[in-house]
Amino acid sequence: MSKVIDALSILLVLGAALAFSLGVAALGEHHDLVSIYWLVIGGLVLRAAVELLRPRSSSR
Amino acid sequence: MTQLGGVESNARLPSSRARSPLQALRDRANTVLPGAYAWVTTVALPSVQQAAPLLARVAAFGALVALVAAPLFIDERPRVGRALGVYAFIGLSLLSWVALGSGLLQSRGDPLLSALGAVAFMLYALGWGSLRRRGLVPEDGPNVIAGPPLQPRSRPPALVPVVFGVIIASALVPTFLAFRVADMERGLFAHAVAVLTAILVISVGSRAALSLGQRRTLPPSAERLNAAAVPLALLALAFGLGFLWLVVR
Repeated sequence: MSKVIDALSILLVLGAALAFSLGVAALGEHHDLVSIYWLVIGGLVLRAAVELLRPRSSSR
Repeated sequence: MTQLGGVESNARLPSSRARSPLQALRDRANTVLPGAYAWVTTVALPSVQQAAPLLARVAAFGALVALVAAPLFIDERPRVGRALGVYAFIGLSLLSWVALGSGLLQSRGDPLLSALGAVAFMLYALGWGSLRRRGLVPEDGPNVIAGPPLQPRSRPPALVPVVFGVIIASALVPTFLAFRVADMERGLFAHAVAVLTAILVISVGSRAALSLGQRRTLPPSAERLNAAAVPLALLALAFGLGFLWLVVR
């Protein structure tokens, strides 16, 4: 199970890079709203990857 | 610049006195080659235009001199070498761009060439990091504590460098795409976003790649999944809204 989560975290990082790329590409096509949408998606995907890699301790 | 084997800012390497200038350039090829490429593509090409002011040309030539001279001083006088390689080269390149002014924007060359120049500048910056000299190992350092060498507790899987390379390549994609944004304001924003996202992706991605060999330090799988539940739920919501938007539009 741990290996699957490791693989998932790497896929999420790559997915975040893809979303950021789509956001920057949309900027070039003057689709500002689409660009913001993909940048937000990328931020959320990257945040999920961070949480998988370094979850906040529940003992706090 | 404080790691063992690194180029200390105020330390001299005694064994380097016999090196010729050619050997010094060869040993610092990791900075000279990307620096030369970056200089040619982003500084020299705009500066050789007919409309380029004299100051831009002089600054560009000075940047080249600083680039080539830095490795010659790095061993005997590290401070001078660093001042030439980092401050003088970058500063004179900046001065050349400033002197070009609007001419720099009007003479937009090949976006791919500019993007590769930006990557070359990044490699140049990395080259000035703590890279040890050829043939020098940390154990040769004067402050090393004698004793048996410490063995690593575990070796990372062979897949880690591959994953790390793919992550770095994917993080650089927005940087290349930013050069395709023609509009000036959007282009500036695109470059800022590209740099920020590249830093974030490489930072998180390196942790993800290295975690492949460090499972013992991570919490149980269920706790990791629970921690990611909120951003994943928000992600699903965002995808749902996006799909709805596509349908309604």
